[in-house]
Amino acid sequence: MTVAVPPDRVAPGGALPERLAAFGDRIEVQVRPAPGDRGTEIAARLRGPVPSGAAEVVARASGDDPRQELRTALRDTRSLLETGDVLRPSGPPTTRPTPTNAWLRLLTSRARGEGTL
Amino acid sequence: MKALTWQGINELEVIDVPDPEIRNDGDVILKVRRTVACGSDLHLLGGYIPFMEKGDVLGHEFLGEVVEAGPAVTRHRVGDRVAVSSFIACGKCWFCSQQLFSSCDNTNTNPAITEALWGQAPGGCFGYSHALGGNAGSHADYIRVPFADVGAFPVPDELTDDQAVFVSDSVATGWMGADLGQVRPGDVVAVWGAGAVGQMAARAAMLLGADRVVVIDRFDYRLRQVEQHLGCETLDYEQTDIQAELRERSGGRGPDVCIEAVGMEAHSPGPQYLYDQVKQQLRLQTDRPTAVRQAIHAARKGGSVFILGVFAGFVDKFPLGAVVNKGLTVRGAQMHGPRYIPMLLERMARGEIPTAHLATHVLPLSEGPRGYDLFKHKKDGCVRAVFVPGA
Repeated sequence: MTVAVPPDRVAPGGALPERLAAFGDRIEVQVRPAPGDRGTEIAARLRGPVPSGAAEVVARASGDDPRQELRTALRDTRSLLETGDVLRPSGPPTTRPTPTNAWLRLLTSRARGEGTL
Repeated sequence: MKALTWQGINELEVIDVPDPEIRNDGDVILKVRRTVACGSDLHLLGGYIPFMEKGDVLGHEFLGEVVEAGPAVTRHRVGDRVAVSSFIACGKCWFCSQQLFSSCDNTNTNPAITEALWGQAPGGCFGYSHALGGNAGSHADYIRVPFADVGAFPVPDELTDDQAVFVSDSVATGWMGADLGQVRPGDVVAVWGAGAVGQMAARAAMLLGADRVVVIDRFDYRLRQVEQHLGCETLDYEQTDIQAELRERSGGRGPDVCIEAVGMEAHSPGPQYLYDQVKQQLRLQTDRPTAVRQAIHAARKGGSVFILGVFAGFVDKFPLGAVVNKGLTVRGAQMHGPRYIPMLLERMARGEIPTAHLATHVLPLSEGPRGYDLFKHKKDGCVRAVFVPGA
């Protein structure tokens, strides 16, 4: 992930941003200047095993996959560093759960933790 | 409050929904004064973009009055009349710094959907499905506007609500097509689609110095608007051979810049339309790219094709051979509102960009479903249905 702020603001004195620091030893993080004056590249990887195969499917569907937690933390970190805030969805909701939107609600409830980040 | 909501494929209903709340410090709440039915809404209505829930509020082209402002808002006060960019931008990420505001990194709250579809997520948009953030739309008495200091702009007193509301999307989108399509003085420009966006792209091309601008459609009343209000040339594709006419009108070269303002539900005469319809309904392609194919075929060697129409997924029979062998530049984008809106409001206030004629049907919001019926089926000379909440 790339954030549009310089490295000394991403990790002043080597201290990671709060949302990533909260992972402690569970993640390995690299912070480096992005080429072309594009800010800072942050690479984060979970240490230890992550769910795979059928367990991965269950973990991702239930929202318990640690990669989802990390992706969300990375997205929050970028937004906090760049804007000082994390945008919340519209509210209060104008829709309610129905059998036909259950798939979409599942998708959107995981949408910050999934994806290509 | 009252809101015009999506209830299912081709079903709309005005219902009571909760009032929006300030959710982030940079938000404002607007009392909506005008909100417009856009052609891209028809893709949601028709189920071509499936990320909708029953009860979602539609609408992304709007103007309103600030009634509440979050503590971080510095550029707007309660009582201000503002027009709002349809795409939401943070103003701080790298993409915003490059003026690619609709590519904002921080405003789509459901990024995984479009990352899976397209590789990366664009920014959020008002009233445009959960794939673009699930933000409640503007067809309502009130709307929450995030990052209001970036995406909301004061409207000059010279402009009426019915004139100014189109800067929120149509005018800015059309201008972007001509600007990023690289219209230069002396160019011949062809525009597919005489709806509001196509008309505004044509006007932008004229203001950027094009020598000749030709707008293509099949609806006589829309082509008449182009001639009367914009002073451009027109072609009816059901009455003439478009490729031959465009060569005729460009000395055999083909247009320097071709702007597509039609989108994924394009119509065309002949068997190609049936072919695309069948493939789309069978989900063998998600979009019908008829006008894009024509634009690529028509463009001069080394020319430029800009795609303004909304496309969601995949198309068939894309003329890649023409793109490569003619050396074309093909580009598309969602609307980079903050890049253009302040300049466009000034031009509109000076009378350079006429928009009032686009509002062919100004209706109370309670008549929203009828407005979309008029708009979708091109009834009664409808170019755009504009809704007035609370009327």
